[in-house]
Parts: sequence; structure tokens; C-alpha cells
Amino acid sequence: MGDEGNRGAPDPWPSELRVREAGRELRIAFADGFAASISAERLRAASPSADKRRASPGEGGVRIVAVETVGNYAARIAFDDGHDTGIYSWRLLRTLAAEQPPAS
Amino acid sequence: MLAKDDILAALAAVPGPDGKTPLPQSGAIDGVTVRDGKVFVAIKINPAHAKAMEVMRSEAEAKIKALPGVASALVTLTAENAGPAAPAAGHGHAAPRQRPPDARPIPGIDKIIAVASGKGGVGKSTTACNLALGLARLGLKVGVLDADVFGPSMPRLLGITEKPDLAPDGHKLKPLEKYGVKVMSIGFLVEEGAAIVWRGPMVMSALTQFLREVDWGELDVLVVDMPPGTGDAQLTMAQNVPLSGALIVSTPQDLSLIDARRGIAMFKQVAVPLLGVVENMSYFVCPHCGGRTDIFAHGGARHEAEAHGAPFLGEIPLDVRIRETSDGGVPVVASAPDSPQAAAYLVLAARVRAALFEGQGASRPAPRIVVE
Repeated sequence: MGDEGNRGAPDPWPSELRVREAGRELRIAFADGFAASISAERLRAASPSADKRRASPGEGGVRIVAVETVGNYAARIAFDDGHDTGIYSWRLLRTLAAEQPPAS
Repeated sequence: MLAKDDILAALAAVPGPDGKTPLPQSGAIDGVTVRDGKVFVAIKINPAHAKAMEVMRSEAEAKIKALPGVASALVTLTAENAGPAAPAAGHGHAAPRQRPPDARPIPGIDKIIAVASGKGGVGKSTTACNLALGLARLGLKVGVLDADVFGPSMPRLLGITEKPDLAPDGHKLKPLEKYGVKVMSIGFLVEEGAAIVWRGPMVMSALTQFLREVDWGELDVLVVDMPPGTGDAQLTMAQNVPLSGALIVSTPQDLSLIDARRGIAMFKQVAVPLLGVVENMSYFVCPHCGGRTDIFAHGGARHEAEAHGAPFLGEIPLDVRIRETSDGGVPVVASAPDSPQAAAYLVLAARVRAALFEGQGASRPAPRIVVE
């Protein structure tokens, strides 16, 4: 829970998290209408977990295998390299999404 | 010293993914890490069989845990990268292993609210108890979960000395009932005065069990009496269930308000809506002369609430009758519902009910999760 960016900005609130491309990307739509796709690699690299384990094996890249909400504020994303302790707050996901070119 | 070879030797007794070749020889072990008695093992599997592999995973975990010198063991299943990518349909969401936190709503429970405080001794449990009874008097079906595992107060406050029975399904615990509310507390399971000496993970698993393995039945509101502070228990609650809101109890003096601020900040961080702030021990009315004394100063909690844009839910006086009824196991809202002391709690209950069930509603809908 370390991402303190955009203090004062309205709290981001996603309306949908969609795992696409067989787990290679996560498309996030926010309640304010903003939407973007984040690659699984980017999410894996940005994992806020203290327990990042080994990096993904490289071949073919990492995939998302599961997403579930954590309380009201975040989602836990499990990857196929076994890493599943990253809890991504809505704010962090918004920051990552904002890095991406807006998706249609 | 625990070595990797000890782990592999223990795993020789576990059949690998094909059901016969011992794990260490199966080539499925993808990594073994040993650090301060903590063991992590990764096993590569075909993600299509993730569910079937769970038996192997838990068996491996049990074997490692049984080794002397192992403080904890974590065995994870990882997807084999070789081979064509399995089509996403069907098992795209097959989680490699089951573990908390999971934020599924609890079936049968409509709203869950947390009664919290920054510091201890501000009367949080007394407030939670009388608030729950007040909500029940308003006609709601109410449960009370005493999440203060280190200092459970509900058995004393509600005068309960019985132990909970198993529910008819033989698995869940049946909550006890008193004054029309269902109650569960760790205090029902240990002697009064016995100390619970637990590390964080134990607290977390106990709370998870109290939420999901207690036969709460149908409830409109579950009032959770939180332990003081901003630690494991609070985070567990915030992560494991979608809390509809939190209520902060504070006494009016600065020392207490500083900690109340921390509590407010914590709930903000985990996006739990703040229902409001209650000022407890707000003032003292002398039973002899009727004169009023603001022992801990007055109005501090109201200012704090306003500063955070949260509603101020009311003030509860410092009153000997509240103290006596609380210690006596006959909470004032149940034993003297028409008394002025109970009236303060009933006002609080009405405001909480309004915040939960009327108007725009405090909580926003959870995002939809789709796996294509």
C-alpha cells in the first residue's frame, strides 16, 4: 500500500477488469470513462509485493492466470510464474493505465 | 541447518504430477528456497490440471512442514511454459492455489461495518455493543463479531458465559444469541483472563474463520468490534470482506484524536467508506448537582470529523450507568431502553442505519472481473 501518487485527485474506481489475449494483458475501465490495457509483463514488473520471487522465465512472457478483488480498494493478480502476492490498489492500476496509450 | 537436500528428501515421498514418479525425480520442481526456516517450493504443472494438482501441492507442503526446523512452508504451482498455450476458456481463472485474501461477500450478510478506534480505552466495545442493540431495536437483524482477539470484551459486555455449539452442518460454529443479536467472540472459546499470545497470521486466520465459518444466517448488519490500532486485524478485515463502512470512536482529548486520525487515514487507504466519528465520554453530568464537566474537553471529535469530511455521529456522555451496565453484562440499550443514556445510542443507531440503507449509499459497486 505504498503508492501515494495523485494525492487529492478523486479516488480512481474501476468498473471492469478484463483479462485478454489469453492472459497477456489486462484491460481496465474506470468509472470516469478512462480505459486502457496494461501488459502482463508491465503488471508483473510493477508488482507492489515485498515477495517478488524470481522474475518471469522470459520465454514467451508472463501471463495473468487469475484476478480477484481485495476488499474495496485493490485487486490481487496471479501470474503463471507463480507470483500471486501482489495487491494492486486502484490507484496503482490507474497510474499504470495512464502510462498506456488510451485504448479503444 | 535446513538444506535444500533435506527438502528434496522429504518430497521423495510425494508422487509427482503423473501420480507415480516421486516429485524430486519428476523434473517438476522448479525451485526450492530456504530462508530462516521458511521454505518456498515451486512446482511446474500443466495449468489445465491445476485443480487436480492441488492434492499434490498440499501433500508436499505437509511433508515439508513436518521437517524439524521448518517454521513455514509454501508450495506453489506454476504453469509450465513449454507446450502450446492452453486456451483460456474454462481454466483461465483456475487459481494455482487457494489462499486469502478473498473479498467475496459473505452469503446472507447484507452490510458489514467496523467499529474502530485509534487507541484503546475509548469505549469502542461498549459503543459497538450498544450500537448493535440499538440497530436491533430499530428492527434490523444484527450480529456482533468481536474481532478484538487480544482483548475480547463481548462476553462480559453481553453477560455471555456459554460456549458456542456446532451448527447442524457439523462444521460451522453457531453464534450465541443475547438480547436479540447474534454474537461471536474468541472470548467464548478461552477462559476470561487467559491470554491469547498470537502472531499476525494466527490473528488473520482466526478472523477469517469467524467471518466465514460461523453460521451467521441472514443478517442485515454485522457489527465488527475491531481491536484498537491499525494492524493485522484491521488489514485482514479490510481485505477479506467488502466492508460497507467504518465508524471511528474517540474520546475528545487530543491524545485520542491523534490516533483517531490514523484510523481514519487507514480506512481511507483501503477505500472503506467512513460512516462517521462518535465522541465517547463526551461530557460528565454530576449525578448530585446536575452540573456538566467536559472532562476530556469537548467537541474535538466533531472537529476531526468535519476536517475529514465525515459525518459526526453523536456524543455519548461519560456516565456511571453506562459503565455499570456494561460491566454487569446488561448493556444500557437492552436493560433500560427508555433511559437518556440509551437514547444517545439509539440516535447513533438511527444515523448509522440511515447512512447504510438510505440515500446515495456509502459503498460503490465492486468492479466486474472478466477473463476472456
